Amino acid sequence: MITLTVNGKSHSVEAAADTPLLWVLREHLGLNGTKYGCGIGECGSCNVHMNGELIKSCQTSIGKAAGATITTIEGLGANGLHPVQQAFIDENVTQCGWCIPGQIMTIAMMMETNPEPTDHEIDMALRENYCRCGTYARVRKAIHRAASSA
Amino acid sequence: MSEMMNITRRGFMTTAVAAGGGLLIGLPLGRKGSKMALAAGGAELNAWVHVATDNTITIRASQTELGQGTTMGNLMMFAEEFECDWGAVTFEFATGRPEYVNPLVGLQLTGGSTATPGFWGPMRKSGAQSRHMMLQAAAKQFGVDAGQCVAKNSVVTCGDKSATYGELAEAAAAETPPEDPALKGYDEFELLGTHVDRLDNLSKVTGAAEYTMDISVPGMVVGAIRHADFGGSVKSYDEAAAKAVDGVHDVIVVGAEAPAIFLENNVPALIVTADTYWQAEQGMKAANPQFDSGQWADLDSAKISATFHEGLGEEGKLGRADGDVDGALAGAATVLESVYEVPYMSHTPLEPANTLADFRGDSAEIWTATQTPGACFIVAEMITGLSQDKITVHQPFLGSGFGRRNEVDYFEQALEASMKVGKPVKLIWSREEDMQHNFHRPAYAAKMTAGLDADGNPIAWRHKLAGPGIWLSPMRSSRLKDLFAGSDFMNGMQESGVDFHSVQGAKDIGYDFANLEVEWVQKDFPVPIVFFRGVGNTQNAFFAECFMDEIADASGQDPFELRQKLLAKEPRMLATLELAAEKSGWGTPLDRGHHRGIAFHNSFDSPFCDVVELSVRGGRRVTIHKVTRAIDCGIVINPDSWDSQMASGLLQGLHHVFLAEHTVSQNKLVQSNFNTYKLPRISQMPEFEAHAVQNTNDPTGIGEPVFHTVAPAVCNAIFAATGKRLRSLPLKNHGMSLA
Repeated sequence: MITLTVNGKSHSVEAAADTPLLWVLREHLGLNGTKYGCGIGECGSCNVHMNGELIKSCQTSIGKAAGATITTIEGLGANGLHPVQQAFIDENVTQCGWCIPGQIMTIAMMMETNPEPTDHEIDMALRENYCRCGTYARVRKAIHRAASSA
Repeated sequence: MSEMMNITRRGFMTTAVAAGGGLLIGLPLGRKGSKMALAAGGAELNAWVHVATDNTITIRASQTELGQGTTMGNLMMFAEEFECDWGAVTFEFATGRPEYVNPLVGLQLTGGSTATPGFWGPMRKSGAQSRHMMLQAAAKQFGVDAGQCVAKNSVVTCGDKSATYGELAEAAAAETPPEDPALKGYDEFELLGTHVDRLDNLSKVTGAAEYTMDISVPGMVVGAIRHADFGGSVKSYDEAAAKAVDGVHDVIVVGAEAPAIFLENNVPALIVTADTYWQAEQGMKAANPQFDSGQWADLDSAKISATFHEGLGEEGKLGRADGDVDGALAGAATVLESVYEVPYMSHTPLEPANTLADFRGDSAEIWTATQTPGACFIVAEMITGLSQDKITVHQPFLGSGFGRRNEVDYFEQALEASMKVGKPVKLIWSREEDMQHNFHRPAYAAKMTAGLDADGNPIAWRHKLAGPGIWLSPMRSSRLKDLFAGSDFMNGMQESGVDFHSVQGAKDIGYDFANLEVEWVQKDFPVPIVFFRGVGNTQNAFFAECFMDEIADASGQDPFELRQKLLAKEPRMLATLELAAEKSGWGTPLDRGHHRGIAFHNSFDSPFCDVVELSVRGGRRVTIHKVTRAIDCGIVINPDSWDSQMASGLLQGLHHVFLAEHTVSQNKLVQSNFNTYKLPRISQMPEFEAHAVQNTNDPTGIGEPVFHTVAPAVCNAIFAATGKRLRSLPLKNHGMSLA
């Protein structure tokens, strides 16, 4: 039995210690906003926050997450939409949407320490997030919008 | 196949054969709708709309939302005529009723840039009919003629009397609307043509949007899968070892025998089911499946390429033959000839293939990431023996698709698995399976030949291809070829020996050549192939537009002016070409080291042109400074979705030209995940602007035509910058990278 706190709630999970956090979130806790895209840490679709850091949940075993505090896309806007979520809505960023939670979690973490990123800093922060549809240009716009609204 | 399936298939074929030619392929209809969760009360007026007592308007979407925004377009068409309050509009995905059949395909299918033009008539008409039902119901209530009533913003008024759509819904549902109501003219549009925000934004930024992979049902097991090699079979696996893994339930082979169908178009696969996906994958590792490649064991890319190049020296089938190409070439002042090549390319939607199938003996309910619910109903009927009224197919949101999800192979596997294990099965392909057993854009080689007269005018053009055919390959290719067997469309291709999509974009090239030949030499391999955004145009626009640039260079002509001359008789195409040239500042001075390339192509009835401005450092490192895009797609339904499609096609085009390649070694794809099959990152998305030719024509497609001019425009600009003519993709193989 492994205990962890997700979006402010404590959970005890019965799963093999090597089970990736991604699948525990999805299949044990029903938090399906975190997406499976590659399973090897290349696409960023599964990015979540753990103990105040950005992690790839497909590359983090539940054993390593024991006792950790985790925030997923479902918990990011616990007190209403996060400014990045709102900016994604305002800029109509989404297309298929599969990469969006991972991108938003990545950007939200970047903006904790860098609330007004330059295009270059955005590129660096999102260098491990894939979008297949073509949202990149609007993602940049949305980040600048979120920065100016904060 | 069982007798049942033969009967079913004959019944299907009879309908299909009777249904006419071209891409219009009639299929049996009358299916059960998907489960609806509607706002309380009110009434359904027809297949497209439900109006709740609280005035919530639920419009149904037949066309799959892959991210392309087609839902928005179709809803807007309906709402424009319905005169409902857009702020109260919501939507749901619907399947299984005759109204949802794509009229340009004859099947509920999203593809071929048909969603907007196909539903342009039906959605506006049913919106208008729904409005008339409201007017008629209100008129009865008010005791006046319907002609005295006005509908606006979900309210019908007549003098000082008024009623909301919600109040009228129940009565309106009993009204019979006019068969052929008058529709608004272009000048009367209030919603169409305006920037409308996506209705799925909120659910997609909060993680609430539901995709097939997110859905669970009681008693469900989750399946992992491993496919046999191309053309191969499952040789061995350790069932006991798999079942010793915690949580594992079942170990089965699918796709090898009935109830699986189209066995000649399959490879068998092993499925391990468990309580969770991770356990199923661990069970699969323990099962350690081994596969037999049979006659294809030593297949590799070098052999495939060599076969294509040999094919270019063989006689093929003519897709088009105008004038006398040989004669014109014999009399030409200059003859140019170049050989081009493109590789296999996977769609890699970020959501891997998956389906949740629940076979209950006397009924079946399936949730699937598909672009073809219509095909799903038919194959489900064939596999289960159930009549279609006992089958429910849901199409939730899709994590994109780009044509791949017109194949229903994973749907078939999940359903077969559910039948075999007697439980609901959610089958999830790993990224590796998704990439390596994808149905790819076929690889091709092409020999392009042109004859120029003494003034440099092209007087002969030959576009000769060698490669497989999505419809005609006897090996693993589109399942739709099995479903459409016996249709005029399939019969026509079999008679001519020319695959529609192999020559697409070559046969129907927009340029005016007096002597023109398009020839296809069929060369088949067991690597699965299917439609990829743009389909045949993806290769043929690259071949033709790079070669057009070669002609311009050889004859000392400006690449834009040469195209302008050859499109003189095609006003829509010419206007698109000229718009791109004008907006890009073609011919104006550039910053030092910057160079332009242009490519034009006409496909899906939407002429398209790209101008790329770039610089090349050290002969290898390409920086794209700006891309100017122009299209004539008739009226732009929603400028927001339109702009997103322009960005989408550009990004995918850059992937195509610089990175996208699957190679084959020992009958397997070498690239199996994003570490070896890389996509462009955000830093590589260039600045772009997109322009639509302004007119009031009915809309044509924007999903497919936005992709295939990027590769030739980039290659032509690289030639302008470096003098190097790069005739095969991707450019990474030439040492070129995108900054």
